[in-house]
Amino acid sequence: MPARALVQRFAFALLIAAAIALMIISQSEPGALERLRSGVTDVVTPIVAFFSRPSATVADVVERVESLASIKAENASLRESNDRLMRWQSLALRLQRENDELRQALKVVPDPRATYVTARIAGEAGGPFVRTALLGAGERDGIKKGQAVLGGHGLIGRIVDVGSGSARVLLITDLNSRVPVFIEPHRERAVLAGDNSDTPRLEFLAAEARIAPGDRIVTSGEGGLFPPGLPVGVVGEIGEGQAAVRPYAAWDSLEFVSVLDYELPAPLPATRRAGRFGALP
Amino acid sequence: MRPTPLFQRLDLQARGLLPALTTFFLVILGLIPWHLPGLAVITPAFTLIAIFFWSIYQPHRLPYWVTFLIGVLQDLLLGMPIGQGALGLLLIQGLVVSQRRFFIAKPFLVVWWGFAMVAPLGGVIAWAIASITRDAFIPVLPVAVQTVVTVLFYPLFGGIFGWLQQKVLQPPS
Repeated sequence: MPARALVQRFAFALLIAAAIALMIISQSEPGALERLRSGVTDVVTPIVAFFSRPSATVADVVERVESLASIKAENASLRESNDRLMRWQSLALRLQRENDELRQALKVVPDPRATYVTARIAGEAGGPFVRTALLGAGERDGIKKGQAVLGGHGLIGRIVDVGSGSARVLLITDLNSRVPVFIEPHRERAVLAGDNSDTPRLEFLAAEARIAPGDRIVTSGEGGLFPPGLPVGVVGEIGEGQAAVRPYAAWDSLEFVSVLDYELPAPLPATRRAGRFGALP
Repeated sequence: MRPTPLFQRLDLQARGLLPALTTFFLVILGLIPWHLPGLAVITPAFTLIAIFFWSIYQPHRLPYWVTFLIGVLQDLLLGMPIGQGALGLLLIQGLVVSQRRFFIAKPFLVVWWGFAMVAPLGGVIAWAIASITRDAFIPVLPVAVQTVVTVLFYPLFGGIFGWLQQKVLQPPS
């Protein structure tokens, strides 16, 4: 028996050392284990997706019962907002036409057109350390590393890891997420930084930045990571040198997301910045 | 003594996979989107529950290398630095295995209390490792909240595991 205990103690020490070695490798040489990660994710994502169906169904049923109760009031408010939106639509069409004519007159080089891939959220990683999502679509569906991911009404993150049939999204709420943004209407610059809570922050705001709660936030496209102009959210509470952000994307009810295929004008040179997900695309 | 028939041995071995399989299932459970507001922030550390339970009651059926593999799998799937979760789970398992004699045959409440002692330690270890790998202090409050929620979830899974242990592993080792 003591011999067995000794072997066990040795195995324990060996495995601790292996875990530490893996951590060092994945920190210093992020690309080295990338294939392993996407391979394993490819295999497990369908299993997670299988078990996710019932939870989605339960959420669905709850939602449906709730909506039955309020269907009349909802109908009235929808009619009202439909009327309002129709007016906005005619205005938008007029402005679009005007915009097109002015662009033509000025000979503006058009932005590249973006196309979408729609994917189901198969899994979600929460907890105090990460905020990522697993998509049930990957390389074979046209998803590439670095693409922006939109959910419902706004940006939710970007693709950091692609397998053949699965992909990982680093959500804008993750501690590691940094997105350069503009705050309309004064086009103030800031960096949207996640902190693992549901409300990311604006950092690196200029001291005299003209922002107010409710101001719209869009991606600025600086650094070439995201296309410019993607809606992100609105400014919430403002503090000293930073502000909270209420994202447009409704996390709790998100089931499908759109992955944006967009030709970036000037891709960043390959860097070897150490991080959880390796070099930036 | 007659040699056990082959199918019986296979059956026993398959039953012996219960701790590893349930722990794997909790990894999957931690990844399921619940579509409930605010839950992502407090997703419990489900695997800690399984590691704690099986380290006390069936340590030889959840050897360290299995914990290591499950930890690595979890790191890969969550998108964390590989080895981070594995290291945390191994340290906790080492601790629990060394103290298991105290918990064996103790009433449920005592074991739960034990988990309430171990879970914060697991949180602190995970927090320390994550802060070192990120080279920055990670907010402490979410770790504390997650720990409390994990402790509250213990009776549910402890109960299920205890029941499964009786049903599946009854021909005791």
